[in-house]
Amino acid sequence: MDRRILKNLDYTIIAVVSILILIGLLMVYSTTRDNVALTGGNQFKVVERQLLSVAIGLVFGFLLLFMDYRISDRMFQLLYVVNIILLILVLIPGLGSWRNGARSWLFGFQPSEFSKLMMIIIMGKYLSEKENLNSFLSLFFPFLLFGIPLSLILLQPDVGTAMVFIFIFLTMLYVAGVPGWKITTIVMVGVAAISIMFLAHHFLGTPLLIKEYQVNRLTSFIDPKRDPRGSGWNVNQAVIAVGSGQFFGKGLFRGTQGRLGYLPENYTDFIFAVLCEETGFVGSFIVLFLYFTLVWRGLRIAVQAKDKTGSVIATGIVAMFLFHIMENIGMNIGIMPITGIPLPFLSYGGSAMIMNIAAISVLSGIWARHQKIMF
Amino acid sequence: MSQIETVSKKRIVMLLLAILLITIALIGRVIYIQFFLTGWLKKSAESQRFRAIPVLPRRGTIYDCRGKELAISIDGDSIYAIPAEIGIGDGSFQGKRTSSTERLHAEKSAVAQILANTLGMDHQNVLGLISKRASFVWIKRKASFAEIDKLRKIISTRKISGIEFSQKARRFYPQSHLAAQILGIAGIDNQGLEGIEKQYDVYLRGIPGSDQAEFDTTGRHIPQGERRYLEPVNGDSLFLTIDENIQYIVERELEKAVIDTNSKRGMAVVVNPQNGDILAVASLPKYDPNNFNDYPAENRRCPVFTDMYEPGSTFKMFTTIAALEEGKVSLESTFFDPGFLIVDDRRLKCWKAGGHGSQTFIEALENSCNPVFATLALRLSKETFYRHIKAFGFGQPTGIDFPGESPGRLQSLANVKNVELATIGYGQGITVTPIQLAMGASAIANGGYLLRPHLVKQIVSPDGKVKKRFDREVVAQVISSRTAALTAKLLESVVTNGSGNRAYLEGYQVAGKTGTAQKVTKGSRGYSNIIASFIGFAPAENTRMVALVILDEPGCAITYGGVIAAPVVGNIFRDGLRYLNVRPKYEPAVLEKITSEEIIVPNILNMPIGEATQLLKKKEIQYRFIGQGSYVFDQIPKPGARINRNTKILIYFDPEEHYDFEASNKMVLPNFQGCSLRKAAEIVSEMGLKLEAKGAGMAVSQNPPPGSIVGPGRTIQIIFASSENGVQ
Repeated sequence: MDRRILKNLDYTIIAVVSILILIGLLMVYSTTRDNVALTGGNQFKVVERQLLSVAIGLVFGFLLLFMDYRISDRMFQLLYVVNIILLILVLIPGLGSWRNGARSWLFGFQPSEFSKLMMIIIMGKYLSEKENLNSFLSLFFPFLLFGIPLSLILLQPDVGTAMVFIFIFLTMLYVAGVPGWKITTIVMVGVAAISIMFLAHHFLGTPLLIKEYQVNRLTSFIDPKRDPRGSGWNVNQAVIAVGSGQFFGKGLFRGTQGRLGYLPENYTDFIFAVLCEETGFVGSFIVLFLYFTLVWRGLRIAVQAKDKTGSVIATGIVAMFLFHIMENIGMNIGIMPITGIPLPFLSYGGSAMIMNIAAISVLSGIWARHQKIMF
Repeated sequence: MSQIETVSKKRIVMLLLAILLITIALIGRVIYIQFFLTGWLKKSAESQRFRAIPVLPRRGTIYDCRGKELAISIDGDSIYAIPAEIGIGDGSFQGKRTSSTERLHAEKSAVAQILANTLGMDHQNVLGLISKRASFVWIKRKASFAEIDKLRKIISTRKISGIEFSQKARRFYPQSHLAAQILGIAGIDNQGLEGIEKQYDVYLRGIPGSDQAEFDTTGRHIPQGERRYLEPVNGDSLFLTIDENIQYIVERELEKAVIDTNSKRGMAVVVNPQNGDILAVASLPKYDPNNFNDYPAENRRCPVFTDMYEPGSTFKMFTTIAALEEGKVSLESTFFDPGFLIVDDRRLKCWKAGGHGSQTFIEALENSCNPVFATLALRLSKETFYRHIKAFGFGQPTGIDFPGESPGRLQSLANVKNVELATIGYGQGITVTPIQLAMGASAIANGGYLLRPHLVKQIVSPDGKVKKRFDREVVAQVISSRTAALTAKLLESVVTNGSGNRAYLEGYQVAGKTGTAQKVTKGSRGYSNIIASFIGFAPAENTRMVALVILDEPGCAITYGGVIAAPVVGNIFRDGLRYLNVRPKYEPAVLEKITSEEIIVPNILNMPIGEATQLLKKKEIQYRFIGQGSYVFDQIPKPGARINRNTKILIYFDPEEHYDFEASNKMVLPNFQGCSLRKAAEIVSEMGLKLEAKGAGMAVSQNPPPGSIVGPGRTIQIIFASSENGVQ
């Protein structure tokens, strides 16, 4: 069976991901090699750490390949409880550490990253096994199941990841067959609730769940000139970097905007802008094409999955990648709000890399198991 | 086969479509940014990365009308620092095992110490400057050459980084106080602050260039980065209408008068009435624009344009011209002045107690009789009189190219009752600026045209092209030429026979009007202090100069304008007209008198001053010193010249006084061939030369020959022959 799984993998996806990871390593090297504060003199320090994450991810992913996505009820409970415990532990001062305005780090990794994949598998099982999802009442439990980890993430507060969660959840509900108008109603209610929260803050002074600067950062992409040296700085710098690449780019390692310190977070959130500057339209088009291939292949797996569980899980994973890609590239080119969402396989970040490889592994597992002749 | 519901399949396909659209949108946006927004983005990216060190342009030179330099820029250096780059690279701080921030601080302190010692500044002060979180700070501006040289040497030996030099031009006024109020001053950043420097700053300042280099966000220079140099465009030069020589004459005469009369202030303006050129503007007390901080700010003002005063009797020339134009008076009119005039319930006194008695209109003008001019004003009616006053430019700015001109002030017509109207007739109850008065008098002198005065003749770009030229600009014809000519004749008789006779100049027709106004002083009631003035023009026909001299609060016994201001104008005309090559026209009797009393000027060049004065005293020649010194550097007139007994010899000491009186004194001898004896005698006397005639008939030969350069008083031999001798 082991060999059959390896034989039936979708090697297109694996090739796409491998190229993306290579490009990512190159870009991380390009952006960090001259940053002495970061590397402490060793030009390869950051790249080496990223390589280590890739290695861990590959080992972890390889093991996951042989685990069936159709988990048992016991496993379902265990996974959910572990997930909740991790998300609670990270909130405890002393255990969870504080970075970039959120308490999201636990012993060097981010539980919320792994939570995404765990919740996709958990919700995939729940939604596919539930027979009737047509009434609002039937949606109560799935919302509760999903709402608890979401609330814990909002408490960090990590608005970006929370948005990913909501997007994944809604996409999975959609593919699982919840009537479209009900999903629309739910979305409308959510939008209304958020609007009321902001209006109340504006007129009555009630507290916002997120901080003022976060609101500014989220809305700065609409008019970056409002505060070009403050909240609008990142958007401006990113767009300048993208634009200065033009068709062929300035050449690898030759970017100026991205590397002279104008663009913050150039090896994580804004790595796409550096890519655009150094490799131009050619490079950015190739990367966008690779992402599209990844997503398209993912949906192909979802359509051809052996069962509904596989289909819903695959859709959840695709939704996760899609949201990350759309949001990150969107903010690099000034059409999406600035959130700390990394670009899959390209941005530097250990937890995200391990989790992304693991997600590809789960996707591959679904594909490998779809042909009945294998089993 | 997989058992997925068709709904799910459909929805996944929908999802794929949505994703395709999203991907297309992202690619579209990337294309937009990378292909359509690039120009703008590149610019903003470069403006971030490139830091420009300004390279200042050379400020334009200001010349007088003949090309003498009045304000020039000489190069000076400034020292600036880039705080983020400051360090010492000679290794003196290398060995010490301290943290990098400590070492950085020690290096900064050492650099500050070096700068402080070399430039004579305070150590803490310099350290504060170079520790600033700025990309660029000036350390010392306008440093001396010696300081720069010393600092350059230290920097190269100790490998100091982050200290650089910038060329900056420094403004210098070579004539120091000459025409200082007109020129104004320019600030340390090449910006005109006052006067012409301010008015024409746009032209003078030029366009700064820049030395651009790449920097990163922390302000460090990228050594292998690009470097761009943008050449600055130097400023345009100005040629003023001011003539340095006339300016000098005016300042000299004014200063003498202010000292003699112990006046608080003095001002003078000389205008060419034919084209509105201002030939000279002087104001005392003076200041030196090179060290303007050593003088009170008050001295920098130019009251000729900015200050209003009550003109007093000088204004009577406008009452005269208005009354003549309107036919309210004629030359035959007679008046009786009992010493006062009752208007409504007020008794307006004449300046002369007891009055002037019975007099013709001409005599009234010569006497400057107040009741007569009050009567004329009343005859004119306020509407008509105001129309003429306004036509002559009073109550509105003349439009001179100088900052801060005052418009003067007319009382509103509604407030003018008979008493006010009567007093305006002799120049009280109206305020004017000196330039307005001078331009009004110019209109009388030039046949009735009010001109716009100007100080700048032309603007010349650095490559020598004339960018702009200012010529005669007529505002309006304000009076008929006939009336203007008649008034000029009347004003000539004021100088010849009346109160202005101290401006009388042998050989020239001088016209003018005296003025002695009282002014309101703060803190005291009513009129107490005096403003003595005289406005004149010469020659009365084909006028070359209009001059107004005002002495503010003279502290001497007799303060009449006719006594203290008129001679100043007379002196200005004497030297000024001679400088302008206007030859005196002597009546034959006068010429006789002058030539018979002539003296030959002795040579005192290079003599010790004691010896020179002894010689001059022995010969009973008057003299005056210009400047200070112990040896005679130059003398005017030159040795050998024949002069009138009353002429003073000017003795110069200072080599800096470079007035070319020699050239202005000499003239080119015309060709007399064909002239009658009478005609030749006329020309020779006009030129101030002596004629030695031989024979009779037409002139056939002359010695010196035509075209020779001769000085005044020279004897010209002309041989005449009759036509029978075969000469035409």
